[in-house]
Amino acid sequence: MRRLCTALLVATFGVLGTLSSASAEADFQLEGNIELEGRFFTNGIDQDGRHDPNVSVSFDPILIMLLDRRKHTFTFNPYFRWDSNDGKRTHFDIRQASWIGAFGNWEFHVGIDKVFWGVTEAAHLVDIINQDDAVEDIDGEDKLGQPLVSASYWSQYGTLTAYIMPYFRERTFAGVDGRPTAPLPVDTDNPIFASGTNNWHPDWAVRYQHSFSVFDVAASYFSGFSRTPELVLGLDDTGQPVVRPFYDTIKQVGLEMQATVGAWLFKFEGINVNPTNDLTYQSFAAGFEYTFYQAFGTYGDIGIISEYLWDSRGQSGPSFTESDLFFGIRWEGNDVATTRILAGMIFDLDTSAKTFFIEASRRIGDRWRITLDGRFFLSVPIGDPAYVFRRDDFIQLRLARFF
Amino acid sequence: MKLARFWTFTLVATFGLIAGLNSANAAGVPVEEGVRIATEVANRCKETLDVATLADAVSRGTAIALATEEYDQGFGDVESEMHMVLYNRHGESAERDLRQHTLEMVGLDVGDKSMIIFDRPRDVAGMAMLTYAKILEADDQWMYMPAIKRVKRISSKNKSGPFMGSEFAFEDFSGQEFGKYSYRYLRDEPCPDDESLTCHVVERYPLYENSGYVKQIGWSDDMHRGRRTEFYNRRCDLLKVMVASDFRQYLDHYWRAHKLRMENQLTGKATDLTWDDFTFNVGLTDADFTQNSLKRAR
Repeated sequence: MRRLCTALLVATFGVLGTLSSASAEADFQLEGNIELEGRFFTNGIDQDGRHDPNVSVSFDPILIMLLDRRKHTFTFNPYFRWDSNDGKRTHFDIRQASWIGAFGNWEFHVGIDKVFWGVTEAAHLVDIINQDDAVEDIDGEDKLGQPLVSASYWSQYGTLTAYIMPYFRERTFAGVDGRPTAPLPVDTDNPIFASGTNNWHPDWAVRYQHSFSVFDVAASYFSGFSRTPELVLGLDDTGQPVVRPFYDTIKQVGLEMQATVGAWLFKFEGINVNPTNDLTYQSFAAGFEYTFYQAFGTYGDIGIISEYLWDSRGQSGPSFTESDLFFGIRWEGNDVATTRILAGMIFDLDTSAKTFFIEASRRIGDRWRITLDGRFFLSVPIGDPAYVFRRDDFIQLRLARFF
Repeated sequence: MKLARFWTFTLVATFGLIAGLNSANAAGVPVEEGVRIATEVANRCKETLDVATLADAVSRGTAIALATEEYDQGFGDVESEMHMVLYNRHGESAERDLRQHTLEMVGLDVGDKSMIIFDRPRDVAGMAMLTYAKILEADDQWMYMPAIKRVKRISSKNKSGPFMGSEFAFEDFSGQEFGKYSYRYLRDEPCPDDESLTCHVVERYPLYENSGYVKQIGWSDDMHRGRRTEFYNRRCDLLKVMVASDFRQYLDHYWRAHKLRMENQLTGKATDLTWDDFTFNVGLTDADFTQNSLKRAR
């Protein structure tokens, strides 16, 4: 990985240097933030003696250079986190180190990049290009940079994009001192690959996306390593019991649809994995979002979100959301400080496990933002995939300075 | 034979209807419709109208607005940088920096394509919004969230809420197309900010869905420069007053105000919106207003 990063960086900045000397009108932008995070576990120190509270700092600068009237975009976004307790959470990643070229209807990406697919809020099933940076949070929204080459063609009939991903990124996992974490340590040094012996593997994908009238639709196909590992029991080098991540090769067909009608958003996304063999499974998320604009005569908006999540593998599968109902409420203050609150509850209809979360944030002055998150695992019975987190309820306070 | 006549009739009627609708669009709503709307708003706001001259006032108001729309056609594409200062009642301020790219769509029945890129406050840097404006239907609108690289189609119903916490609503930026209103001429008088000029005072009524206003009153001079606008909320109260100044002419033709001050009459808050120079004829095309281009808008 390190070798690849170095090679890409050298290549990127080589091209960058050549182009910047050729073009006088280079536009540099620097943005990003440094963030202090405190986590407080409401159950205190647990019986395994795991810590409470936890302190962490992250640094997320983004350097952008635009050339030749935005035809060329160079982005460099390293990412660093230091954690007071978990050595695995203290980590470095290159989120983005890429060249984007835009030429008429064509767009090309080369380098380490981040790509999002999908429409629903409670689950991101279709989204598969980037691996989860799961030490960041367990909500699946933080991603590791993915080395890729892509080409995209836009016309009035939609956008077609092809991706080649030569190098696979393994998921990060919290260490034994981390929290929330699984009961057994994850031996990330000894992953099992279903194909080959290392991370070099030609994953590829295509996606067609089109927006017309009130509809936004997309269909995608992916072939390569599953981003979600199975965890298999094993022993580490010293003979201690561990779980090892097993990365299978899969083929995934994805479908995304959204209809935007007045204040209603109707959403569906679904996947069919390995459609042609007997390991096939399906999963979907579908629901709606409705917003009351300027609710109760104030400037604030109140949105109601509900989604149903289903996975054909049921309780036996690794999915947290095999037949779950999500209900959320969002408040946007539309005030000078851009105050917003999102609260949600996920009900597992099979095990009646309940997970509650809240995210609230507002700006302070011009350059600061304070965020309060809470995550609570309520009445999670044995057998539910979230059972391992049942004593890891936490409240998290974040203070970020933007530059 | 009968069938042939029936089909001929149907065809003629259909095309007649389409042509009629198109011409109605091109010249604004028909006078009778304009009279009906003006009467309805006057009744709702408990005002009296001069019924004898109403039809004339509607025609004249429509003609003035159409002349302005026609004068401003053909600008092609334009990029601009905006700076906003938001003031609350206590004089405390907050600042916003944004950029706007606009591609003109030719014709009175289509809206322009535009992109707004947010630069400040810094926690929203890189966020961008793409809008395909419509005349009477809801706009198509997408928002890009750079932290998770997600483009999200959003409801454009929220036209009247505060834009970035300011006293401007999104419709105050985007609502300037001729076909979005019906009109009624009120009077000519010296312009409120420059008495050496004569202003046409025209009342207009939003025809598009989800406007926060029952009516607006606009002052514009002989050079088609809108100098002052009063916005009345749905309860007919004077909600906001916008004063435009620092007019500069581009391409020897198009006038653009470089300062807008919006004052909220009910809360005492105000927003100053200033522009750097506009850049016309940048060479923007449809390909610069796609979801891909939204993601790399910087």
